[in-house]
Amino acid sequence: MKKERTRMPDGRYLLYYSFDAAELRPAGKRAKPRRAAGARRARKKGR
Amino acid sequence: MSEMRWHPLLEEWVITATHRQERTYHPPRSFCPFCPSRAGRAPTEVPRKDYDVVVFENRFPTFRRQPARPAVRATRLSPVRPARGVCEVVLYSPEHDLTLAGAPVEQIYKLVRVWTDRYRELGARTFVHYVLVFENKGNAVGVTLTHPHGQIYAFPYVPPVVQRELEASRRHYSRYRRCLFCASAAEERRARRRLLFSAEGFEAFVPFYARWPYEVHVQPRRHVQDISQLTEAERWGLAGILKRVAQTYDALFGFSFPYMMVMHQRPTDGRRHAHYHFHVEFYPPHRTAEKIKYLASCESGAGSFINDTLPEETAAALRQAARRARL
Repeated sequence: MKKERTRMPDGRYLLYYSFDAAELRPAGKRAKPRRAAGARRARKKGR
Repeated sequence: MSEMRWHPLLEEWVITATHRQERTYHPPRSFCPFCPSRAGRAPTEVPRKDYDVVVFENRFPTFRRQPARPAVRATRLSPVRPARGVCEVVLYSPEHDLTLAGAPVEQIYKLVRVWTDRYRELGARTFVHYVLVFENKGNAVGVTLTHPHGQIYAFPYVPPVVQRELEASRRHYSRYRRCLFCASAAEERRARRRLLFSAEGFEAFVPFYARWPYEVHVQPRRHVQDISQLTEAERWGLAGILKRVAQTYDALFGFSFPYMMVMHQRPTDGRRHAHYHFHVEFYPPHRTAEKIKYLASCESGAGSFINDTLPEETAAALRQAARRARL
C-alpha cells in the first residue's frame, strides 16, 4: 500500500492510497488449489 | 464554531458545530465535490483520479485539530471545551455510483487496509481517544452527497455508546472470565435462527437484542480488540462479509438499501481494553420497503428503542434475500 500525502489550498491534508496488483490476492486462496492439483498429479504418477 | 458542551443530566458531551449548516446539500451530479476535478470545471476536493482510495480532512468538520476557543464561558454546571479532534472523509472510489454492494471485494479489501491505517495513525495522536469509522448511506439517513464515501471521527473522548459496551463487557469478563461478544456470537451460532453468514473468520447475524429492523452485526470469530489486529486472511474475510451484507440488503426490497455502518473497536486512550471485541454494526432505517423507522419520543426522549419487527423474522427474510441473490 502506497500513501501519498498532499495539501489542499486551504491547508487540509489529502491522502492518496494506491495498491500494487500483487497485494490484492487473498493469501492462500489461489495458491492452494494449484498445490492441491500438483499433489494429485504427483500421487497419480506414483511419485 | 465547534465546541463541546457538557450535558450534566446525561453526563455526556454534546458537540455544537454551527458551520456544518453551510455544508453542500444534494448538489447535482455534475457538481459533485467528491468526483475528481475535470478540465474546464471548478476544482473539486480531489484533483486526481488515479487513486484507489482517498482520504482528506472534512471541509465541514465536527472536530478540528486546532479548534477555536469556545464562544461561551464555562460554569461549574456547564463545562465547555474546544472540540479538538479530526474529521476525515474516505472516498471509496473515483466512480460516482459505486456502493459496497457493487464494489469488487478487492476494493473493499483496500478500504479495510485504509481504515486500519487511519485507526493507527489517528489513534496515535495523544488527543485522540477514539477512532470512529462509519458510513451513512442513502437519503433516508441524511446523506447530502451521494458519491460513495465513509467518514472517520477521531474523538477526544470515548463516545457514550462505546463506553457502555466497554463497561458491560468488562463486567461480564470479570464475572465469567469470558468475552461478552464471543459468548453472544457462540449463542447465535448455536441458535442459528438469527445467523446470516459464517465465513472466513467472520460472522454476520441479526442480534437477539436488535434495536433496528434489519440490524446486522459483523464480528470476527477471533477475539481481537481493533481492526489493526486482523490477519491478512481476516482482512479479506471482513471485506467479503461486508460486501455480502450490503448485497443482501440491496436484494431485500430490490433497491439500494440505506444504512448506517459503524465500527466499534478499542479506544485509543492508552488502556488495553482486553475484554473488548472489534465488530461492525449496521443500522438500516427501513422497517418495510416503504416505511422508515424514526427515532421518535420513546427512543429520543426515553432512550428505549422499540423494534417493530422480530429479529428471528428479519434474519429469515435477509437469508431469503441472500438466497435470491445467490450469495
